[in-house]
Amino acid sequence: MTPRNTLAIVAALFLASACSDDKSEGGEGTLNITAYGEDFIELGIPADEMADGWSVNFDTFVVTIDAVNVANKSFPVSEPVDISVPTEGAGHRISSGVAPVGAHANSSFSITHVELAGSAVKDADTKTFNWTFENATNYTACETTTKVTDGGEATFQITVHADHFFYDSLVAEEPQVVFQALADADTDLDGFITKTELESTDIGSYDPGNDNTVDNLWTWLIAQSRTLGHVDGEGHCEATAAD
Amino acid sequence: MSSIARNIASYYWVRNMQVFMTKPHLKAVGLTIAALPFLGCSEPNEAPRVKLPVVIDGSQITPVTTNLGYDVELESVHVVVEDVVFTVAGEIHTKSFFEHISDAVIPPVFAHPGHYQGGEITGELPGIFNINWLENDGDELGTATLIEGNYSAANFTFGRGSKVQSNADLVGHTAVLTGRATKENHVVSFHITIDSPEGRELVGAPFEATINSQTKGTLGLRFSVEDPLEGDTLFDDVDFHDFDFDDDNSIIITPNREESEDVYNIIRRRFQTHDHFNVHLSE
Repeated sequence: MTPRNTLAIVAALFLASACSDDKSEGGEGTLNITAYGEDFIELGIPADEMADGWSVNFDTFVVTIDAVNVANKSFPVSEPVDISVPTEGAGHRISSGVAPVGAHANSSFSITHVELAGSAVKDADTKTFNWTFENATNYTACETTTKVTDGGEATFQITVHADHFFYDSLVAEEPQVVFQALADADTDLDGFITKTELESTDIGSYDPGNDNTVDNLWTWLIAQSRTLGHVDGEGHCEATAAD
Repeated sequence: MSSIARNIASYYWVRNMQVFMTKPHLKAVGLTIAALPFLGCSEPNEAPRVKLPVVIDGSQITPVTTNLGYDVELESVHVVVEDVVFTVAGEIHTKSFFEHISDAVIPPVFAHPGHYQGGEITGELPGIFNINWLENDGDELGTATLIEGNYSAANFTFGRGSKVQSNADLVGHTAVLTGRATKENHVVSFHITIDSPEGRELVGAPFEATINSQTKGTLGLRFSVEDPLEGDTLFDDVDFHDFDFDDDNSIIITPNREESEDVYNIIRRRFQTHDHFNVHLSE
């Protein structure tokens, strides 16, 4: 290769790396959009994953996902999906379509509704819950690259992290996963933790960071519900309230 | 592009530019192509760095009246602060050679949903600081390095006092606050110990300043009992008299003490917010 040719290629590489994070080429492939709750939602959160000995199982964990955009294309999602139904790691396919060949970044989606029901157990204590969160959250600039090949099939997975509901901090890099404070909110001791009980319970030692609007356990759960969305496992997105 | 690919590209770029520059008929072409990566994107060049001393500023530790009617006056404020960083608002586009140079000095920002709020870090004062806000008012903590820019906030990590650097009260703890609370001529002295979780960052302490190469002066790291914006105080909702269990006009609030757990949580929650810290440029 002559120096001139090499230089031209290197210049092109520089320009490509400096200016774009979404590289499209010719052709098209199929892109599947899936929603996955990992083992924590499909099988439950075992006691050894919790810091206070409780374990949590979900009977249902329904999410409504909207505004999925990958490769600068919208992927419509027709209905809510119960991601507590086991998939053996595959996740639930919620949309599919044709996407241009390339390595696509800067994807986004919204979660507009979360409804979870289940139970937590520690020794002889059992607490049940059935909570609905209608607080829409937009997840943008997701940290993943979706590679579509010509005639191939690719997957963009929206991963839901249920354990965030049980974090003891909104700001710690490695918060503890706990349930005791939520269990203690069952003040009428009927074994069912209601929204009303949570609204009347202070967050105690939980750490809300700078958010002084989070002052009871219900607002705490709302705040945590805005952190559930990830991509392709552990990929993070910028999360902002849509309401 | 991976860093390896970028390094390979850089190597061939330099090597072939040398070839072009030794051939007069190719020099113009070479210079034009050489400029392409820099013209292709509207990204900034490396900005000058500014060094400014950071001092303890106790000017905002003033007597306050809480929402429950207590007049509170602090007598000492000891806090362990680590690694102060300074941020500019929003996102700046530093995907230039400068970013790679600055990575060695300026820690990278990593956002996690709900776990981080703040701008781009472009200044720092690394170190562990045992700050006695009233006794050492005006003392210098060190020299901060900042890149030119419009700053909006400062972050730091709450630390724990060590045997080497701290007084006995602060060893193993994040903060110790002492003072007096008075209501209806009934005075109670208090001693409050606060423990922040390991690595707990405080993000977004107000720091409104334009820093450039002409900037002179000092950066004052301030603690404020009253939130300057909202007017609430660190001790709102704290009924001091309720915790004087033995009626000796003296109360102690510490972590892991069941009888004062609720009030401890309230105070710690407020203490760990950006409402009570700020940085002020005095030129």
